[in-house]
Amino acid sequence: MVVINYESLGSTDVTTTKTLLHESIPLTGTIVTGTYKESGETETNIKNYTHGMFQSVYDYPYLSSSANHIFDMTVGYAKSSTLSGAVSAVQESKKINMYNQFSQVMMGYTSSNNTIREFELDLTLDQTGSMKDAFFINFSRLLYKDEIKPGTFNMTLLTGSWANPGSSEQKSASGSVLVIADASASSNQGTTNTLGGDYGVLYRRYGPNGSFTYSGATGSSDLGVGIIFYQAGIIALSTASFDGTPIFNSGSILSGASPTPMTVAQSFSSASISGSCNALRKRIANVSFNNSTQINSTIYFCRVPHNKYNYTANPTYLSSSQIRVKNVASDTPVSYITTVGLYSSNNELMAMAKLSEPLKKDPTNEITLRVRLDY
Amino acid sequence: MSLKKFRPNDVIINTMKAHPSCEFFVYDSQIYYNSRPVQSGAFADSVLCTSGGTGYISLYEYNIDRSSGQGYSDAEFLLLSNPDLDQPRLDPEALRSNHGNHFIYPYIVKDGSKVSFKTIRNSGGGSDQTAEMFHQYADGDIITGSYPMSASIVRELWSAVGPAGFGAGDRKNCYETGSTGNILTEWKCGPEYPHYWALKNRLNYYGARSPHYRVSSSALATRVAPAAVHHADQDYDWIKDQQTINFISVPSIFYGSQIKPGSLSLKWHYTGSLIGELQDTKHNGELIQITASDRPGTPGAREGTGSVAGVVLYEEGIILLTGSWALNGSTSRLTAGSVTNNSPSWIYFGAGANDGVSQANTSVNAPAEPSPGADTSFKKSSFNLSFKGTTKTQVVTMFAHARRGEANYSNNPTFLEYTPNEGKRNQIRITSSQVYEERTDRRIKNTVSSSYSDYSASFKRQVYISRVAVYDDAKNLIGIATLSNPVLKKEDEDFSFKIRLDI
Repeated sequence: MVVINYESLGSTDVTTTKTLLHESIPLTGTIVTGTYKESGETETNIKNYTHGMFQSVYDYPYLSSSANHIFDMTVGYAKSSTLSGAVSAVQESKKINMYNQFSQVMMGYTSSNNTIREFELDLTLDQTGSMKDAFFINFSRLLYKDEIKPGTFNMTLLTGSWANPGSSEQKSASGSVLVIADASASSNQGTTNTLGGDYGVLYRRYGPNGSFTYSGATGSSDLGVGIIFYQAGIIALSTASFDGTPIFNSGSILSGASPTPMTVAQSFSSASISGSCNALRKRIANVSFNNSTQINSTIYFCRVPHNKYNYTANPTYLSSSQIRVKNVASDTPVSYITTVGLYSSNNELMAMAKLSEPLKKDPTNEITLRVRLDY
Repeated sequence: MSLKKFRPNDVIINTMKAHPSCEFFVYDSQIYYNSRPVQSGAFADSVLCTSGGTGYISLYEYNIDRSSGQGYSDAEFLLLSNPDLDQPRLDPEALRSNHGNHFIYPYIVKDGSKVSFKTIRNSGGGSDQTAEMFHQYADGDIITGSYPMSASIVRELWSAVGPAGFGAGDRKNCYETGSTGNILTEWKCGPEYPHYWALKNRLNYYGARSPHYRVSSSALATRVAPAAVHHADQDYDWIKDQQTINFISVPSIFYGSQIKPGSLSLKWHYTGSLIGELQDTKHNGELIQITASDRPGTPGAREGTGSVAGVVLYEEGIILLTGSWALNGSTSRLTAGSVTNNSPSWIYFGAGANDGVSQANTSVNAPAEPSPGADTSFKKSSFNLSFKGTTKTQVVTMFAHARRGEANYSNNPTFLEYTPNEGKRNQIRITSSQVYEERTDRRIKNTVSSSYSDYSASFKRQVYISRVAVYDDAKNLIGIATLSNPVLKKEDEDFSFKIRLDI
C-alpha cells in the first residue's frame, strides 16, 4: 500500500497575484473597406440588417466560418442637436434613439433634473463641450478583451473628398490625414469615470511632430474630436472631425434648385445610417490599440524540508529491493522530485504540477517549489 | 418573486461521450485535414495563416487573412502624406492600401510575478536552444509572443545514425577537442532521438496490453517479420533500440482524451492504388496489416498480411511503426537527402508530414541521373490516416416543473387588461409614506381562444411560459433557458421543462 504524506499549506505559503496580458491589435483600412468586394460595390465582410440601425464589420466575408466580427458602427444625434428636425431627415427617430441609448448607458443622467447626460469632448463632465452628434464604433469583445489599454488607441482618418479621401482638398497642417489618439490617457491618469466605465478623449494630432491638441496635465478642459470608453470598447467620434470635408458622402441632397453633395452634417441627417457608416469606413486608414486581459494567479509555495521526501513509493525506485539511484548502501537516501500534487482539505487530488526536469532531493538540501495556478 | 427549489431527482449530472471522426491525407508534403480545401485570402495564401496548407487546426483563429508584412506606422503615414513638408509626398490612398495587415500578437510586461510565455525558456534546457531566456529580460521589458498557434500531425524517422549506428536508441557522439581542434576524447552522450527515450517507459508499461509494445521482447514464438527485425542478439524477437522506427504524433486537440481503440486506419496509396492498410483489429494497440498488394515477383501472394507493423499509444496519440517489409515491388525516394531508392514500407508511412521530407530534397542528383530534381517518385505515394477520437463532456440536466396550480401568473405588464386613462398613478389606489395599495379592480387579460368569431371565451387562468431562469443557492441568476416558442400553460396542466447544460 502506497503511503502518501501531505504537507499542509499555511497562510504564508499561499499568495495571489494579478498580471496583465496585452495584445497589439492592428486594424488597417484594407480590412474595413475595399478588399472583399463582390460584383459591383457589395462588400462581403460588411453585414447590414433590415432594421438598418447599425452595420457589422468582419475581418473576412462573414459567410465564412473563419470570419471574426471586429466592430459594429452606427450614427446618432441628440434631440437638441442642430441636425435634428431637418426636412429631408432619414431614419431620424432611429438616430436619436441610438444617441440616447448610448448616452444613457455610457453617461447616465444629470443629477439635477434626471435628463440624459450628453457626451462631452473633454474630461470635465460639466455639461460643456457637448458632442451632440457622433459616429459610434463598438469593438468586439474578441478584440478588446477586458479593456482597451488606456493611452494606446490610435486612429488614422482621411478627410478629403468622397472620390479621393486622401486628397489634400482640406488644407490643414496635416493635409487630408487626421490622426487621433487618446493622448492624455495612461493606466493611472487622464481618464474620467462614468456609468459606462473610464473614458478618455481622442485628441487630434497636428503635424508629423506628434503634438496634440492637449496641453498636458492641466488640459482636462481641452476639447478633442471624440471619446473612447475603455472597458466597454466603444468610440464616439464627433462629426467635427470632418467639418472641413466638402463631400463627405457620395449621395446628394436637393439644396435649392440643384442637388449638392453631402457634407458630414447633411449625411447625418439626410443619409441612412448605413450610408453614413459606409462613408466613414471609406475614410478609416488605420486603427490600432492594445487590449488587456487580467490573469489571476494563486501561488503555492511548496516547501520540501531536508528530512522529508528523500524516498519514494514509485515502483521503479527499487530494483531487486535495491534503490536504483544509490550505489553504496551506506549513502544517504536520495530521490528525484518530478511532480507536486495539490490536494483539497478532504485529501482529494485537485491539481498536479509537473517539473520540466526532475530535482534531486537528499537530506542535505531543502527545496521550495513555487506552483502557480492561473485562472 | 418566488423561487422553486430543485429536488434531488431534478438535477442529474452525467458524462456524454462522443467519437469525432478525424482524417489526415498526406500528399507531396501537404497535409489535408478532414478534406478541407484551402481557403485563400486577399493577404495570405490560407486565411487561417497557418503555413503548410490545411492540415492544421488554428488554435485561436484570431489572425484571419493577415500577412506578416510591415506597414506604415501612424507617424510614418502622417509624415509621408504631409503636403506641407519639403519632401516627396506619397498619395494617402496608396499609403492606405499598403498599410500592411499585421498580425495580432500578445505581449506581457515583465514584473515580479514571473509570468511569461512558454516560448521563453526558464532554464538552459529545452528543445529550442535559440529561444530567449526569461532572465535576459529586465523588469519592465516587454516580452512578446506570436499568433497564430497551430497544431498538426508530425512525423519523425528514428533510424540509425552513421555506419556504426544501430537504430532508434542511438546516442550522440560527443567530443573533447584540443587547441588545434583535434579530437582528444570521444564518447557517447545524450540520446539522438530524445522522444524515443521518453517513450520507453511508457512502451514497457503498455506491454501488458500487447507484447508488441515492449522495447525488447522474446515473448513471441516466431518473429513477426524475420527479415526486418532479425538482429544479432537472438534472445529477443526484437529490440526497439536497434530498429528503425517511424514515429507519428497526433496532438490531443484532434482526438480529445484518447483515440478510440480499434478506430485507427493507416492506408498507403501508390500511384492511386491501395498497397497496404493497417488496423488494430484486436483493439489492443497492435497495428495489423489487413490488405496488401501482390508480393513482388509472386502474383497472388500478399506480403505482410496479418503481420504487426507497429503499435499505437491511444492515450498519447502516438503511432510507432516498425514494419519494414516491402509493400510492393516498386521503389521510391522517401527519405530526405538520400540518393537511394526505398521500397514502400511502413517505416516510411506519412513521408512529408511535417518531417522535412519533400519532392525537392528526395530528388537529389544521383550520379546516374541527368539533372537535379529528375526523380519524382516521391509523389507516387499518398497516405491516409484516419481515426475516431474520444471526447467526454459533462452535462447537467435539470428538470424544472410547473405543476398544476403553480406558475399561473405573470408580472409582465401586458398580463393585465389595459384600461383607459391608465397612467402611472392610476395603477395605484393609495400611496403614502405608510401605505402602498394597487387598484383592486384591475383584471387579468382573458387570452383564452374562442372557437367563434366576435365571441370571447370564458375566462380561464392561463399563462404563456417563455423562459425558465436558474438561480444558485444565494439566489443569484446564473442562467436563463429560453423556449423557441412560448408554451401555453393552463391552470390544470403539469409541465416539466428539461434544461440541459454542457459544462
